[in-house]
Amino acid sequence: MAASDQFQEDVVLGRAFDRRLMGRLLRYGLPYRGRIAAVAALIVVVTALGVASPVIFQFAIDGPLSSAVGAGDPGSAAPSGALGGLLILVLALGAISAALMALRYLEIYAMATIGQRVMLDLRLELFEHLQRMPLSFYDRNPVGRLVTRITSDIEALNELFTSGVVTFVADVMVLAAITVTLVVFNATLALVTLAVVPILLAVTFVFRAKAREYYRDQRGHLAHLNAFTQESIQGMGIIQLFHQEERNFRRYAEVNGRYLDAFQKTVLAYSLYFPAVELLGTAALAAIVWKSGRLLGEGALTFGGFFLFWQYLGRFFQPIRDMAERYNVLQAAMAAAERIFKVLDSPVEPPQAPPSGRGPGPRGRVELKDVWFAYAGGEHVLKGVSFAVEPGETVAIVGATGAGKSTIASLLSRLYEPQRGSVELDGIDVREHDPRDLRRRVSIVLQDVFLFSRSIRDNIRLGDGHIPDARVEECARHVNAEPFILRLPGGFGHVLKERGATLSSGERQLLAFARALVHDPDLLVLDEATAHVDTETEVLIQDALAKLLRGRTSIVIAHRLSTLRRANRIIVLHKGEIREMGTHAELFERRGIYHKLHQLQYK
Amino acid sequence: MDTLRFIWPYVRPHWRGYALGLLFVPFSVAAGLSTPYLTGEAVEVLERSPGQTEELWRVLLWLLALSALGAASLFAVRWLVIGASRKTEFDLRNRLFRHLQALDQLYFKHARTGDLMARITSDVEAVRTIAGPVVMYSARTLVLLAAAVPLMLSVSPALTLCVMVPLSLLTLAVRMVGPRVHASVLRTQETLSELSSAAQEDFAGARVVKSFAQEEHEIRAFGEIAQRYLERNLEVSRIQAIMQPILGGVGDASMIALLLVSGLLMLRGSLELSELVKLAGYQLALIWPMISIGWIVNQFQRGRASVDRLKAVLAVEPAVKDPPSPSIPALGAIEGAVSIRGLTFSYGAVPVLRHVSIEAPAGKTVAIVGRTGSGKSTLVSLIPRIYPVPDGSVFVDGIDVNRLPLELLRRSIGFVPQESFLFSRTVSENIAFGVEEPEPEDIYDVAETTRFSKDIDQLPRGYEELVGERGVTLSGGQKQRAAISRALLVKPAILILDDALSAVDTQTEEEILENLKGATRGVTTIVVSHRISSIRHADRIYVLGAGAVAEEGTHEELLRLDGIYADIYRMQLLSDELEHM
Repeated sequence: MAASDQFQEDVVLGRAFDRRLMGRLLRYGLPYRGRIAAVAALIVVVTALGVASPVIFQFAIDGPLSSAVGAGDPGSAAPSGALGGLLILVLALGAISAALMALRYLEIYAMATIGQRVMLDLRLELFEHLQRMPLSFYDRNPVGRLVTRITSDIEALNELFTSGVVTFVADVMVLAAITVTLVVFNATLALVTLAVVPILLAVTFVFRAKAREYYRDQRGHLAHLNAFTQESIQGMGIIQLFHQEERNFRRYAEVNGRYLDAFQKTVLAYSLYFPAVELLGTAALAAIVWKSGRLLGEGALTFGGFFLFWQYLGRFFQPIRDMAERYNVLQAAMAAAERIFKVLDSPVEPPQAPPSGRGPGPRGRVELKDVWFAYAGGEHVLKGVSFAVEPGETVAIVGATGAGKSTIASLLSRLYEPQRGSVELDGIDVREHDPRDLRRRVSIVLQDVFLFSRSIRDNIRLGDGHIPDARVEECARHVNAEPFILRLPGGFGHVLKERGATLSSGERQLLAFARALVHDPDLLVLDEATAHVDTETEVLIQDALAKLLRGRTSIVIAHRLSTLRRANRIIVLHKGEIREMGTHAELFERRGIYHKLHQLQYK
Repeated sequence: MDTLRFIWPYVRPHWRGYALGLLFVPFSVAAGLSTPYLTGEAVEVLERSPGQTEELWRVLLWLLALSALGAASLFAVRWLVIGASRKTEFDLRNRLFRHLQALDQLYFKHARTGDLMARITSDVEAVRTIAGPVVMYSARTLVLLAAAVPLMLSVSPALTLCVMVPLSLLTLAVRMVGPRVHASVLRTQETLSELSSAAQEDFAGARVVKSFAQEEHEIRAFGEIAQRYLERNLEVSRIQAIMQPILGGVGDASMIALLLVSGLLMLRGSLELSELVKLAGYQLALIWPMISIGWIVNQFQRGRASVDRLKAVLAVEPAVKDPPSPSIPALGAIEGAVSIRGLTFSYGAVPVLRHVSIEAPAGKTVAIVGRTGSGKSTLVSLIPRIYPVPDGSVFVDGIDVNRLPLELLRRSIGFVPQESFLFSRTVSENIAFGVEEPEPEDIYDVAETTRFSKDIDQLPRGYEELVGERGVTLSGGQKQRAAISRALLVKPAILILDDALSAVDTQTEEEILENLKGATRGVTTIVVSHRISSIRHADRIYVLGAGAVAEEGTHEELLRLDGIYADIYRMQLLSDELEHM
């Protein structure tokens, strides 16, 4: 077993913007367009209020406080009403600040709600879609990859909706609002101030491009380091058995070192960028002061105006830095969206046939007519197989290990479809049955019993909540599963851990029997376990098997002679073809393969 | 304090980086504060004599020069301190990994991979945050406060209060709400992992879900968890939605106080505009450091939990260690006689092996059969001391394995475990896993012996093909043959095959066994198997039942005994025969 992909990341990033993808993504926002509009309105108000405080300071300095400013004789009497004016401005600032607190709360929370709802919608849509995928899809796609789609890929989209699009709009608005205020106030000085913006943008985008590259590199090395660590933990036994601790450690230190080196590059990029931005800010400040000197001298600028420019200067930088940050979010989200939509676009199971009700044949009669089947790209595992099972009959199939026998089970449930020939239930093709209805009527018990990490009770009745507890317990008792269940802590309520790993194979078998019985199928397909269990459990299983098969249309893939003898008819399947078919007595008489098998067992 | 004591040994080798980096902190702080100070000075110059005077020019030159110095210092602090913290992290991670490698399999049996991964990733990361950013911001904030408060006091004590009182609320707010955000985020992550396990289980069980038409129920159950996850997320958002406006509001409050009080002072004529500019500048410069105090305390709290978890791992004593005074066999090498005498072993309270005695003379083949859970695998993994072995129960060449040098013991054993674990490296690297400098011919030879070479030739890049996630996925039988090749290449004195051919068809199995017979002449071979056909020719067969030896003898003897062995044999004839049809 190689390391799982849990710590492997898709480090390949694509374009940051794709109109087609974006359009499709935005459609998920449609149901919330009312809220989105409200948030947009909130953003406008918050932006306007957020840039207000320097203006108030400017009012104060040029208004009530003007007497204390400039070359005017210090200590000269303040203009009358100056105190009142100051108080009004302080109150205004207080009111704005209070309003901002409330509105920001609403803005952040509303934005989060929208993002979360969109994510929930998309996640459920994806999960539902996956439920409708044919089984062959699951053969092709590793579970880990699908889990990534439904967890981290959707998370990446959340980023887009909550901190991506909306914040981007907010940042642009802040920049626009400040620019407009500055230009209105003093166009010349605004020009001097804004002169720094192109440089800042250039520096930021160069930094971003580099940082992104380093970051990707660093993520790649981290993914590698984590994968290596995980694999080493999982394969520690082998490392120790072959006395490779030293060599493996050298490898680890090397991978760890590469991660360190990659990280140092990112550290360097950030260490350069932040001081550069500070330096740019000071340069801009010096330019403003220098220019203000001339303007103040000419009387074209007030001290309040100077204060305003000084205060706004600092506020330019954050939005620009943030905007560069958004680019990464966008890029990751686009890649995730691409992957998600690819799953959503893959075709679901063959469409449901109109329920044709009951077929013309007797209920529960099964017939395979010249069935040919091969798994994708493989050899044929069934070659022209034909046989029928009459209602109430038990047919046993024997044959070498190989896909052929259990494939028949999958075909009956229409988990796969034959390439040629047909499979019929009640005298009509299974393709004409409602698949859900069909599967309810056919129960399959496989050798490898899949148990969910849920309670014993829920593992037996599965999701069919209408099956009462009493019925679950009755069925468990019937197939001899009750004694061991009651020994578990919590009995039927006992929650299994990690797919029931704590249960023995015999116990798992019995649970599977109970599961099949509780769903009371018209047709039972059972792959008898080959595993050796202890004698007592073997007796319990044989007894349960007999009860389960009694009077029920069943196909048993048999591995024990005792089971073969219990069957009404026996089919000997070899290399995808039927070689012998008949009752135990008939086949015994024929002295063919079956006879030989029988002799071997009792020689 | 404990946290610092834990980190110190990892920090110490890099103290030069830290010391040099921290040396630049005062410069970067001084330069940072010089900006508002000089801006204030410039305003004063402008107030006195508006226009682009030489005096103004001089102030601005100072501003630019100091700012350049500040930028350079800021770079040095960041580069040196964060850089050193990364090296600290590197050392800590190496130390942890080395420690894990020394632990025995008993530990790994109980530890969850995910949990160990979390420790070596996020816990190490949390410690690194303390060793890096926390150190840097602490130093900066301390120096900044020490410099800025006297500067502000020199302007106006009343205004200093106006700035500092609201700003200290910032620290308090972060300190109080931060842990709540963190707890809430943790709860959200828990729900996310619940969500992901639910999805994982559903996808893995797709066959059962479909067979029993459980799609609707699965969708509903998943929907409930997804809904819960949404609520958890909104809980985090709600706290953040409160936190951010509060931080903004506190900053505003200090600004309002500044406007009110400085306005009053200016009206009384006891404050200049230039001084207001300075104070407003200092206030701006202090906002983030005041927030960072709360952040630093929170990081420390989180770091303590991580340190505790790391300490817990590092405190685990390896149960399998090299003997302090080892016994070395007379020849310096191991011949291969294995003898197990009255071995009783348990993982927990219940013994899995009881008084087991087995003799495998050098060069002989011994087989162990028995039902699942009878203790076969445990028994053979005790020979190379994969688990701690009780003294006086397992002997190789007559010496207690606990007294043999671990390296000598393990290098003399070729072990093929039940689950053939391969690394995601190339095929030839996997085969040569136990050998430092393998000869290519030897690799081809063992691959030939195990009938693996034909399969390898089919691979697009042959022996250089990558195995696993990023390469080809080998079938169960191919993996087993790779694992046997790996064990053969170390030229062992003892070869242990733990059900190593279960996924190979009987035909190939027979061929491999035939080849092995030639390749392992003189090698003590211990075979665990489910299949009688693969062990019937063994020199001696032991039948294990519920942790004890139930039957022993040769194939013929055991058949005559007509016990468990004969029973299993008859059962298997049927399926073997079917395969041979």
